[in-house]
Amino acid sequence: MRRKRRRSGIDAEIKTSSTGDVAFLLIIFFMVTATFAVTKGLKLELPDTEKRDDNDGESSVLVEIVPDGSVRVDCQPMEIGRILDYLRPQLMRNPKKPVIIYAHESVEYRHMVRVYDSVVQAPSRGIPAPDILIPTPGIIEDYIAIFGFDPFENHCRGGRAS
Amino acid sequence: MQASRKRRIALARSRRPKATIPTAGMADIAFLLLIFFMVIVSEPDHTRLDLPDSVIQDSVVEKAALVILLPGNSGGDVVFKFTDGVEQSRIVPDFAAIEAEAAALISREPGKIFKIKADGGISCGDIGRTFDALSHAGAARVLMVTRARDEERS
Repeated sequence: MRRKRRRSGIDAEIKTSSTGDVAFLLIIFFMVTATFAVTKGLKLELPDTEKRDDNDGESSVLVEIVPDGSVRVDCQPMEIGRILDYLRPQLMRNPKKPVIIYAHESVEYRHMVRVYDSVVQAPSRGIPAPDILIPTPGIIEDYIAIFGFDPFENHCRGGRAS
Repeated sequence: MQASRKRRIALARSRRPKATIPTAGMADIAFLLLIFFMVIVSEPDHTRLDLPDSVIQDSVVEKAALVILLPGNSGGDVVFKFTDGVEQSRIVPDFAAIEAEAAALISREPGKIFKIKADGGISCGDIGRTFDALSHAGAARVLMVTRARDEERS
């Protein structure tokens, strides 16, 4: 009997045996990135427009960011890295002392974030977490409507907070 | 003899259970799951901004609403975008529109967290007015979206 000769030719097939392995690796990748798809940033509690905090008239520390991005704390020019050193003795004496972070209207947002970021690091330096207030234009307008003057305008007289 | 031996071998082979698992459908299931996870990872906003940086990075896992402020083409203007965290972000005209959208969202989902994603060059006045709009709408918690900064570089 004649044997049929097998025609020599190229096998026209694509090996798909590893397709499942590749697919599962991609699944695991997207499962992991889905878990990590969280937004990160700085948390902030907005002031309740109805409620006014009663801090027993405790004077606050004013951290002011001027239009060129530099910082003044209680009317004294200060580097951002030194703010917590300045706050330490005051907050250790009175943990409820408010810290007001006031940025002039034209100050870039990144400067305000840097100052806020610096102040919220207080607990990591052994300082009680301060009560941070960020006066918004609406809050300042309300203040002016009630008291008739802007509390942040010309408040530094002779280099000291008035 | 040989024939009976061959018959015995064939019978033994037919009795042995086949220990195979058909895996032909595995790739189909794998691709379906892959498409599922690709879809759920999609973010409602892909606006690229020069975010301010911070050392402290609190996380928000839940689908928070997002207010986006980016500098307009003409330099002085600010473009506002809003999303409830599910739909794609859309442009809104002004702070009053942000307040209206936020109020509508809070009436449906009290306690909703709002994220503010703003370019670092935006003025603090505009950020403050955004805070005012959200505060008037009844929002209590806000997350200022930042990128991580190495503390040693500060």
